[in-house]
Amino acid sequence: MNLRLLQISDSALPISGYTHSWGLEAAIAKGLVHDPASLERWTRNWLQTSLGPLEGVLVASSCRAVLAERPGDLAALNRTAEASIVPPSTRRASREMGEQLLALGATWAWSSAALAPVTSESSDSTGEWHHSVAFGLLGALAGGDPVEVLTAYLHQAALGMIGAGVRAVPVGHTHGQQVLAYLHEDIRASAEEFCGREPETAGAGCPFYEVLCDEQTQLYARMFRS
Amino acid sequence: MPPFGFDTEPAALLYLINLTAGLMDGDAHLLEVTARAGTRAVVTGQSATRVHPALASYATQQWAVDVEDDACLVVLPGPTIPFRDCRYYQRSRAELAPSARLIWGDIWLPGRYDRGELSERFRFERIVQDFEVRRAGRLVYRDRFRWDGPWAAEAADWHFGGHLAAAGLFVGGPLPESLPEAAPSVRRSVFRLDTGENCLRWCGHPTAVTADLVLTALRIAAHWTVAAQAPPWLLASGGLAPNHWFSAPVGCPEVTQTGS
Repeated sequence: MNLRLLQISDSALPISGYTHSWGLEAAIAKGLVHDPASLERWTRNWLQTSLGPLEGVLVASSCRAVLAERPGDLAALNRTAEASIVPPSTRRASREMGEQLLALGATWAWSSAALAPVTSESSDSTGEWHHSVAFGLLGALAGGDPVEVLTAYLHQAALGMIGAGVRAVPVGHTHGQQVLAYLHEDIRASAEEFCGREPETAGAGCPFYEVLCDEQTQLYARMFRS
Repeated sequence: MPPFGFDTEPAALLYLINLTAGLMDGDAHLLEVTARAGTRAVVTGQSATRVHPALASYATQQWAVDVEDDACLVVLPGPTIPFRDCRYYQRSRAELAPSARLIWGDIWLPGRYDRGELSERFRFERIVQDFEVRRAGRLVYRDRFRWDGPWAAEAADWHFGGHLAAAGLFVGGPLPESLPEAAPSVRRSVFRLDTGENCLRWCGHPTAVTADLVLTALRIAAHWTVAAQAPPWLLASGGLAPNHWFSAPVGCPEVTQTGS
């Protein structure tokens, strides 16, 4: 078992993932998500049409770039993330989680030495690294192959979304874990599919999801930052 | 065909005429537009872009747009209507000079949606949108997606929120303090990008989404080039008959805007 990959995928990792719902809170407010079944549908759609085709492709591409000793490609991938994530709330979340993940990685013996020369270069955007690129980079340093790393990324993302649902719907923890288990095959299939895509194809076209992300920021009372 | 100029209007209107019934299987359009300094223009198609069923290949439309400093260009290709089993690839590249202004709107409809039993909604095979904007050579905006159809109700609801139209507007420049009020039948979101550019998204009734996107685009262009509270380019012109696809609809219950 790759313990390093397990560590960067841990939901307890202090990179502020638990403060975000990635639009789910607005979907709950609109009545679109209200029980375990609708939470499962929401998470599956999000993985397959939004997160996977954009961030997922960037994770795998970043991992491949590092494994091929082309760390210079990471800045362009980060720029792609910056230009493609339209809602400011999720764009900020992506940058904050990326920066915090790299800050943690800089303190770990297995990653700090290799990380320093890469992250000292400009991210070519706002000076901050997006979570997908940071995850792909650290996943490669952890010794993972692109499919493995992307599988881990999608799994931690699904767990984060379900965790937000457990708190906000609310859904029981047992149901939450059942939802995650139901999604395992979708995660594996998505990892296989999106790992094979070229970085220039990264992108997701979900206008209604983006509108919900915007509406989440306008809720009168909210639990989450996105 | 040269662009139309109107004595009372600050902007010219350039129609791109397609003499066929739309994009057929294997059609490949390439449109290259350069807006020189001083340009004030709307570039648009004469109707919706109808993408016909694919038999063995696919249809493409590619845009290459350059906008120089002190130019203001609005590009409204027209709503895209993907017919059953169509395959469509739209690739657009816009290169902006440091102070250039560009507004670009894409409207996506589900197909020929209002034909009773013959209606087709979300029956396309594949749509690829590949839009990138660079300012001074730096990537500032991407809208890239691949929609694999046909969509069942759940997929249509996820993407379009239960509506029949979705749209995106790239605004290469600052937004006015306020925008025209959106019609009740549309959901509109404004996203400020960290590059200083902006983006809007819509979901809603096709007529209302189209009207709101066009009004917003032409109001912002007038704000930039005429005055803060200037009426939108072209829409209020007495020189333009109200029968264009982008004209403000009359008597449509879904559209009750206050900003026009």
